[in-house]
Amino acid sequence: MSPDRLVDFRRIWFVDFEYQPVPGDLPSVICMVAREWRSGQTIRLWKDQLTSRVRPPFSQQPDCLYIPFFASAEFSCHLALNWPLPANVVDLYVENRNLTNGFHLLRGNGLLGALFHHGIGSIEHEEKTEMRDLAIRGGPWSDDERRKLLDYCESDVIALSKLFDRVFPKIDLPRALLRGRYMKAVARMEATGVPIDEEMHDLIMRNAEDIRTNLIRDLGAVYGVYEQGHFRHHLFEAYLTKMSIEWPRLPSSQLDLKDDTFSYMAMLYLKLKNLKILRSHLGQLQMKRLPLGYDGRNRCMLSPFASKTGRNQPRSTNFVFGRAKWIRRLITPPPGRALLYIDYEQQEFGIAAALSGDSVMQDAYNSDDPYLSFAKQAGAAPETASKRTHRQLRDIYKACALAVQYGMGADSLAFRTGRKPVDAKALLNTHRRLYSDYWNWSENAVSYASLMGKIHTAFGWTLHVTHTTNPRTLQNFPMQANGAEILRLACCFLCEAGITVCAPIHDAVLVECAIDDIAETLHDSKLMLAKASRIVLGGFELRTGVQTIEYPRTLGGDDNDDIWRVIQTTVSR
Amino acid sequence: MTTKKYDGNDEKPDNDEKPDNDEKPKDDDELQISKLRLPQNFESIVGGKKLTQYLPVRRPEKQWFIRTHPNREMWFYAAILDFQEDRDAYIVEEELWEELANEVVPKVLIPTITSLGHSFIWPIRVPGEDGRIDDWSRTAFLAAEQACEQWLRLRSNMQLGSYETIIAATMYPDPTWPDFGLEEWLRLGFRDKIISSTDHTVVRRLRGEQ
Repeated sequence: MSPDRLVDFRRIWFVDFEYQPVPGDLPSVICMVAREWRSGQTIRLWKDQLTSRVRPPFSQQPDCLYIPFFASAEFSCHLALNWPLPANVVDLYVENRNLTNGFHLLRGNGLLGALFHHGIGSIEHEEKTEMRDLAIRGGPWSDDERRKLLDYCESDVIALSKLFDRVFPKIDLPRALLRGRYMKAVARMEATGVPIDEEMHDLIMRNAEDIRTNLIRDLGAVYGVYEQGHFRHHLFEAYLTKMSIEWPRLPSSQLDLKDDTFSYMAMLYLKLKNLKILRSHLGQLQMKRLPLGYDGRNRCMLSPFASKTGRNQPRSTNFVFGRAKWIRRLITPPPGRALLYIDYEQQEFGIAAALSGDSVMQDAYNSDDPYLSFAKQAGAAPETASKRTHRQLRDIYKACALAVQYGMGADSLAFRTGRKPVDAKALLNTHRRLYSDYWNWSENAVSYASLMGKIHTAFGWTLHVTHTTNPRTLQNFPMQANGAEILRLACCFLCEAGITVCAPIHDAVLVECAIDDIAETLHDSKLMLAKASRIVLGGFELRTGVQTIEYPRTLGGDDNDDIWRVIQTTVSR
Repeated sequence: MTTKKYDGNDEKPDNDEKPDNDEKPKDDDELQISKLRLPQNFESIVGGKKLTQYLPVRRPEKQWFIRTHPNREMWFYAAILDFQEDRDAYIVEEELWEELANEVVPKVLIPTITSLGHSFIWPIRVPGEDGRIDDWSRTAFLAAEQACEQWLRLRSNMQLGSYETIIAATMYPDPTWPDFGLEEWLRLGFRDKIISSTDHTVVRRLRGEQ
């Protein structure tokens, strides 16, 4: 058991690395500086001194504390050096995010921004940029450049110790250690990466123009709205007139071509569905390549704790799961291996039911299909109804259940479900009537946040309330942010058990194993995901589902078969 | 604080220990982490209980599904003065009944709740000394009795001159009643609307006084 008071830690080390980022791969380490809090002992090591070691030059045992700023970056250096990760971590980036989440920081969430926010003087932004550029430029470095880089690295470590002195009284140490524990999992997942069919990825990138042309020809021809590869407004106007479709317009009288409007209209007019899909996917073809490592794996910064809810927020262009769904077809396990996409089923509904203690809602969640159960509880579907027999009705009740958690009103729900506002209002009223305990709890959560000026999760991730905070954000926070807590714990358990996690994805994890180990890995993983949900939800367990892919299959898309067929046909030529 | 620099080749720092063992899962992990769990029951933290400060006295809208209080001791029989000028109902205390006999009507005040959890007091006229009652009031009272057990709504049937009831097709759960007694219901519904003397503004207005 690790100490939960600072005084009980034998050694407290501030650590910082300088490194060259390598897109798609682990970084190339340049130097490291570590400084012990009490004694001031400082260790400065250059690249060659680091690579010759099998472990860090300081203790990482359970009675020691490791304090970095953005730990996953330092840990990626550990992994690049084949060093073990420390037992206890308090990441000052994460803790500063937690102390200021919801506020606008004038100079951002980086180290300089944190120092500025807490009134600590530091080097100038220009100087930091200059040093960073020097590191990114790569070697060889002159003796003077080496000294400058080490000095710069040491200045960050000193700044880190000053920041620690200032913010430590506000840090909730036991829960900060739990967040630090997740940063180790992040480093492991970032280092693992998502295996990609590199050959297919290259083919798609090389043939993007041809694919684009063929997609327009095969899927767009019936609409006649593309000309020389471009969507033409006047042709679309003509199409709408021909089809007698009344399309929403902007105040300027131009057609409203926003994605939401397209989605809504495609729901009302099924014939527009392919055009909607085509438009969004043509955009994806213009995107740059995914960052792939030497082994064809997509690695990128997962940006943990970047969102207000504490969820990861990787850049969508760099992360395969941030791209359009058809790109997931590129995800494929290496020979002899399998991928398990394990997700929490109806996670937010389950969290709402568990935390509010609403027994009617819990009954719905514990049924096979919460959304259909909602329809049954409302008397809109017979007890015998199934997803197959009442798909459309289920979708409507699902939209309602999700709309409630996002604080959506009747008009927005009507827009999303293609129903009249009066029907949407009736649906919301049904939800309010059936799940009255949930509503009381949710309203109390918003009241609490408004009164106390902040709201927190079961493990202390906090959102601070300002005059600009949207009440809908507060209403949704407990579900989203506790969902993030659950996934963080699950990732910790999986990584610590030696299970290979390629990536966390909102409410899911992508796990990799040998084909022979599928059953055992799946069994163990599901147990760990269940355990994580029990811990966060005070004993309530969330269900998980799984999609298993064995080499050479790829992670399936859903309604993108037509797109994928055109892509395959094009590249096979 | 003394600063001691380490350059890699001289003094060996404190890493001459056993290998790190941080990554091994612990058996009591679930228990240990659960101890750190913070409450998510915001009601108990902030005491954010909905405070009822006012109860409307009115008949239900025709779209409202309602339930009436199943405890008949919560139904309060009173002499009510409907003051048309401000469309408010006033409870007249017993000693003034004779004096205001032409102004008051006997009514039963029934604690009622909608399917959305909004409470109100539903006043229904009851037979006076002559035992006569109009069909609107009679059918409303019957509906109120039925609403003790079932969710229903009332609809006017102008041809028949009475209400008809529509029973909810769905099995709604029973309502959660506010946890206060009759006295509080009446206080919240008739806070400033109790006539206990002939000096009351409403009585004076009815007499044509300023």
